[in-house]
Amino acid sequence: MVGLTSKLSRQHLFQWRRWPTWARAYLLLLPAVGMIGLLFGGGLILACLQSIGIIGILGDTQPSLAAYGAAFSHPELGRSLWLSFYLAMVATGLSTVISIGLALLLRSAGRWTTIACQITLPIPHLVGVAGILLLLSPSGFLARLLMALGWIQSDQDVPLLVNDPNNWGVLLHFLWKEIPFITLILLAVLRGMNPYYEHQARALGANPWQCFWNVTLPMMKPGILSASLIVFSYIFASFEVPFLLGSTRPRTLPVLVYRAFTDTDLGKRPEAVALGLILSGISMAVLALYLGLTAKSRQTYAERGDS
Amino acid sequence: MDYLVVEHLTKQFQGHVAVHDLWLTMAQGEVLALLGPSGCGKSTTLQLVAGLLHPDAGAIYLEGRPMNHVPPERRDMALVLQRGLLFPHLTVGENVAFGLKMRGMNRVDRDKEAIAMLHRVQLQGFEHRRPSELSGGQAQRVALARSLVIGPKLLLLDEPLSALDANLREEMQDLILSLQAQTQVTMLIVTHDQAEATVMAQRIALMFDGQLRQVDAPERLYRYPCDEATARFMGGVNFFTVQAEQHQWHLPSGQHLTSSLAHQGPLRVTLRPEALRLYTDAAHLPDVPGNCLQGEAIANRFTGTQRRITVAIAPNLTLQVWGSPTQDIALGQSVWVYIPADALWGLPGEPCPPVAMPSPAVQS
Repeated sequence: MVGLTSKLSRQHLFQWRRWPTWARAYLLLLPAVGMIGLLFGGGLILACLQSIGIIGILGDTQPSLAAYGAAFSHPELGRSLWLSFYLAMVATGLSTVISIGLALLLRSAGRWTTIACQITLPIPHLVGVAGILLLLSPSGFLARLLMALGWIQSDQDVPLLVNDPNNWGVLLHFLWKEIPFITLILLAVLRGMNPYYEHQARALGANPWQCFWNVTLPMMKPGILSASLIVFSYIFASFEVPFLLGSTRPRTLPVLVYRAFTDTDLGKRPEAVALGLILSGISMAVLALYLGLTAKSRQTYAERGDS
Repeated sequence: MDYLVVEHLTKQFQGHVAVHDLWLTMAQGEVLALLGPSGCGKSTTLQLVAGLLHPDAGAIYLEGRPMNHVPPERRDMALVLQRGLLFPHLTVGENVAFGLKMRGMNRVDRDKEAIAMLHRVQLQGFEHRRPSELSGGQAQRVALARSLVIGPKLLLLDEPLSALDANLREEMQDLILSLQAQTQVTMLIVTHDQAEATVMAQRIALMFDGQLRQVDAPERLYRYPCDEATARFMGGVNFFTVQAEQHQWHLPSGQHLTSSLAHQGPLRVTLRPEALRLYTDAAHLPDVPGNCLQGEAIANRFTGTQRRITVAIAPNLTLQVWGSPTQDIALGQSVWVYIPADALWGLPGEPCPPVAMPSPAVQS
């Protein structure tokens, strides 16, 4: 009897369909998760070990938190952190608000809107940045066009829009790139929404504005939240755009990390790695906070009713 | 005098005529059912009345006030749609209070009214639930409460019960009718179900292909349909042609029937199956000359509440009769069908013209 049961279960082991669903799910996820874990997690662990001096670059392996001390006392850390946060907030906020408006305007338009929104998706950020440089830099297309039209006398007369202290170029680039992305998501949300909810609201006495505020917007909320979360976390940790288009000082946190990492003084490497880990930590903390806050607001929305 | 007046209403969608030259009037407090097969334009009509669509031509008046340029939120109408369509991000109480909030009523008062209204639809204590926690019937009650709480001048219901199962539907019909009796709200119900229209409405407006075919009390629609399509939609199954000589109507097979109606010449005739009586024994036939036809039972369907028995009278004449569920009849058995003289109804030869002028509304 015992032999028979063990034989059966050994047979079951090779019968994929008899595995419990959760086990199959985990096994199927393993290649993808393993890859991410190995590359991302492995890198993170190596970086951690470097930052606390367990793996040395110059051969000296003395465990210490000195790199973190140096990183936290970095003179630019506060301003860089603020700049990264400010850029991510403003770009996400503006593109979300504009996208909501655009999506509402285009919701009943044809399929071309979806295609139009997808045009910028495959264009790499670097290409966008190059475009903005060609277009808006002091010797760029816009300046030359205005000069040819005789509207300005010299290229000094155009407002500085790239590498400027206000980071207009960075914001412009992110708006150009993220508005179509968020609009695309919100269009899908709106088109998937039953239009009768809005009909119902109007018939019950809601004017178009009340209908938008009390019905359409709350029903779009999950889509808005996830789209803006993706955009925010991308912009916050984005390196190449502020590096090429941003102000020279202060610099965003990712640029600061890059500068420290490429410093000729290899002794500063642990500090650079520590800065990078601080950036990752803040990024994750912001995401966790954002998710926590929005989950709560989603719950309390029902209790409050007014927004 | 007329509370709601719809004149000459026309709506097209990309060349397809959804509603064509529709005329309709309703009295205050009346319950009218807009009945028709799917795609006949009845929901479009409802949306035009509610102001959610703009007519290509025609006018709508409520209490004598033209409505064409009044936005839906200022028409004082309310809508109940299939499946309730409660706002998923609001609680049941907030759903019911929605219309009051839009009218600027303060929180305390509108909560109080919402709770009172929930009580009237027998959902006391449900105000903090989420719409996702409700059954289909409960959701539909909340939708009803949400519409009635604003005291609409006209309550529009679009297939309100078609997503519910049969027992629940009857319960909801009773609830809607009792609330209507209490509030005296004027109700326009769109439905494709003739049984539902018959139970709920004081008058039925039957609609085919964007046009009203007949507007009448349910019983009249059953007994006196204006054409064959109307009769078939109302469940008519027996149709044949006779040669009428006043009250004597001759069948092609040579037999003749006595009708209480007088007519001269060929006539298309319909008979409600429930008006006929079936006899298995010639000795028990009523003593009426002519109106008993002998035939052979060729089908016998048990429906639970009755038997649908098909009797072949002549090569080109079969009649369906509703028999008692306990009356078992063998196929091939010889039976007699008794046709009361007042059960015969003659149809005009052609489809009746669309209702082009307002017919007088029934006062409730």
